[in-house]
Amino acid sequence: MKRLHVVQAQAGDVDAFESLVRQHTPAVYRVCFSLVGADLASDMTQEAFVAAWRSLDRLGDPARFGAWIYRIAVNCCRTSLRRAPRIRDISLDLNARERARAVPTSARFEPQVELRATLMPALARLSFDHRTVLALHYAADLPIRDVARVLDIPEGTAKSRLNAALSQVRLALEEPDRG
Amino acid sequence: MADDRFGGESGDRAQSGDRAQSGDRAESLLRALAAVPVPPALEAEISARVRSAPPPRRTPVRAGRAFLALAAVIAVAVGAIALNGGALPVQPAPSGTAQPTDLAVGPSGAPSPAASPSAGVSPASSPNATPASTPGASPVAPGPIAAGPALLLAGTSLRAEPAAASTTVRVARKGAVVYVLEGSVTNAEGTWRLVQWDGDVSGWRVDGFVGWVDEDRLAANAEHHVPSCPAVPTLLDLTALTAGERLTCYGSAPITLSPVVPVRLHYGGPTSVWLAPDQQGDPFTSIPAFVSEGDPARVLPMYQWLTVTGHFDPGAILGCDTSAPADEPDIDYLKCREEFLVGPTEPAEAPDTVAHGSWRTTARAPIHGSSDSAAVWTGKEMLVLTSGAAPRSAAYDPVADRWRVLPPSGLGGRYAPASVWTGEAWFIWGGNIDGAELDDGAVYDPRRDRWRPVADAPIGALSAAAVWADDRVLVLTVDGQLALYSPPDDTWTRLPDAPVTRGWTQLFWMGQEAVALSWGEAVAEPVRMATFDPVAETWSSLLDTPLSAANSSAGVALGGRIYIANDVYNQIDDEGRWSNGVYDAATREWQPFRQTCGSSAGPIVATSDRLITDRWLLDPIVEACLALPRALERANSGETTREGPAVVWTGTELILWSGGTGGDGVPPPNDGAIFRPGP
Repeated sequence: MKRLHVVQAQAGDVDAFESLVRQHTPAVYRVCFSLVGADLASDMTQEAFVAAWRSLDRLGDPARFGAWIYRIAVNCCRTSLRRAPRIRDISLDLNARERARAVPTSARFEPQVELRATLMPALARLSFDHRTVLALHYAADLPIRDVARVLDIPEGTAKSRLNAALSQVRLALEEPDRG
Repeated sequence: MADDRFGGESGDRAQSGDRAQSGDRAESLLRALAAVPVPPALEAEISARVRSAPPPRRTPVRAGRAFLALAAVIAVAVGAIALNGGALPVQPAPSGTAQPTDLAVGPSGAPSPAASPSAGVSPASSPNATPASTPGASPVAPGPIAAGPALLLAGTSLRAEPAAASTTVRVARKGAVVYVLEGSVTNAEGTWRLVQWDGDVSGWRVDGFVGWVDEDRLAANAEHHVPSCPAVPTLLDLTALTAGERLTCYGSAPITLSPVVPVRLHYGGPTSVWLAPDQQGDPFTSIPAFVSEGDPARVLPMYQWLTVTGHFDPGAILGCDTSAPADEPDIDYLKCREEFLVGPTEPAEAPDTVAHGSWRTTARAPIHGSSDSAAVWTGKEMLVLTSGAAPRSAAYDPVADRWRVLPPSGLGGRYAPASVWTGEAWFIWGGNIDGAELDDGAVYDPRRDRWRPVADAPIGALSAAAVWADDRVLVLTVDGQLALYSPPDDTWTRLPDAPVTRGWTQLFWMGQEAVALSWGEAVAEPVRMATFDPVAETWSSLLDTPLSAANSSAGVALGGRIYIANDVYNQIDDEGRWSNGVYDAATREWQPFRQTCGSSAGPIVATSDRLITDRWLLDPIVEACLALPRALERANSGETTREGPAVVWTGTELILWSGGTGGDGVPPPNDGAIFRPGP
């Protein structure tokens, strides 16, 4: 069915493409959220789908739409960062960490609060490539071999990037004030 | 090929098996990313944008050599009719390998234009290829192929398997040129051909596809396309042909290329070794090579200038399994046919398109490495300020090959500050850190080896660009606030706001006026520009440029012109916007800029009359490019890559310092390299 939607969309069927949008938007948004932060994630998700719609003719194998849209999204995010100040890579709430500290303990560990206050600053320290493997693996829930396929890198490289990125995140979480 | 596991939210947790189950805090937080709530209106917003956007376009093509070749192909193909009476003129090659034949797919019964006369030899490996013979076709002028909805041929479905019930890979478009990659397979449902449309399987044209088509249907909708095949092709000639055209032209005939350089390029496909025209290489100017990793006799001397003899379509040689069942095409088999099997090699002289000169390393800096450091050249030293939470600054003297640590600047951590050498001092201002924009700065005086803070600015804390405008620093924020800073007086003067679009902004000083390029925040919008007259203190109105905002903004001012040189050649998008351009301040006009050097990981800097990067040296007037020799390998890496290095031109040498190594967890080493152009 997914492939049929892609083929139909390639023939200009916007309804079929909207089916693909519904199917892939959550994961694509979360990848963008991980790469550029909440402020830009919606815009980049939109950019990715519009770019995909306009370039559907370039997608050779309809079965690869999933990998393709992730790749477009990653490229959109990368492009946005080239034109934005570096730290806005992961656009944060100003002083989110401090605000989180003011949150009652019971609520502090609510995932979203801790994500924005703790994880996102840690991700901001990573290179874009490292953030990308983390985003695809965790936010989009792709296994390593699929991360490698999306990024067109060897699986071993994807694994090493993931391990390195994880180490850096752990270090950043342990030493949040070390830049 | 099936890839349905990229299925949105469905995920693949159970299959991954390779995710650490440590349960540590980092992983716990990272897993929470998969539960980040999606804005409720997002899907509707996307749908609205999609419905207001043009429909899927035709396959875009690149400008430049490859574009011209493809334009000619399409000129032949569009509107073609079947000429062959249903019989496909595809014959097995003498080796037993089915030879590729270019076929132009067109609607049956449509008028047929003429085939372009071949400028070279007849296609070598399609002996029965019949040129289309209808006269009167006009050549396609250089430029983008008009975007528009694809013309679909009902029923000409290309399928994943040689069966009518198989999944449709693609419905062929009128005018598409396909290549018959495999001999026919006959089954109960008919006779089938494996064809490839666009792209290749060797690595970078990932958008191509391969599929089976019913032979009768193909014959009824296709005619032969005859590519132009230079009799003695150069590497340049070969890169102007598509993979299928190379096979059609030369089959497995021996070809000698000289001088070429084996380089490693990774573009996602199975090919990692390419034959390039220089020691850098890129997929536009290089061809994929076939090398047996296990045979020492066939190990190429990488990055050396060679004369290479070999051929495409290596067939059964060295692991290309031509005995693979025809109904089970294997991508490696196809790959092998597209790659150039490297045979005998000999050392060769470097061509005159390679810059003379040599690289040397710098002493290791006494500060930590960093990407995106601010850097200026004082006339004697390179000054660098690292980016990040704890910036350090140091000075490097390339004559003495010696570093010295600068005193503390007093500046807090920051990324991307405005940085300008004023002729006597180094001005640093603004930047951002932890999501906050900064509005403080400092000036370093190398004669006194002392920093002092910059007076409070009358403009807000926003990212800014700065230029040295004769005797003042002109600072422009991304939202258009403009101010002049006078270093001797430590004073600011507020000036009229610029009419820029909020977003990434560049500022160039052209001698008598400043030019602001506004890249905006939406890729779909054009890059805009405005000019500032410092005498009248007025801005021009905001004008659209022909540049595409989809590209990065590698640019530099030189000799009264602004050069934007993002990519090799000048890529033109569907809106007709350019990736490269040159603005002449005298005529106030933009022209396309066909730099042929390729992209660069580092910034472009200007010498007295050239543009230079870590990869190339370009004379912008004649658009002549010289590739730099391969850079030295990094201190902690076997790679030469420098992502976001500090770069200065000293007047005689290019100094690169630090920068990322490519993202495999290696912190930016504090190493540097110097390129000194030779005579």
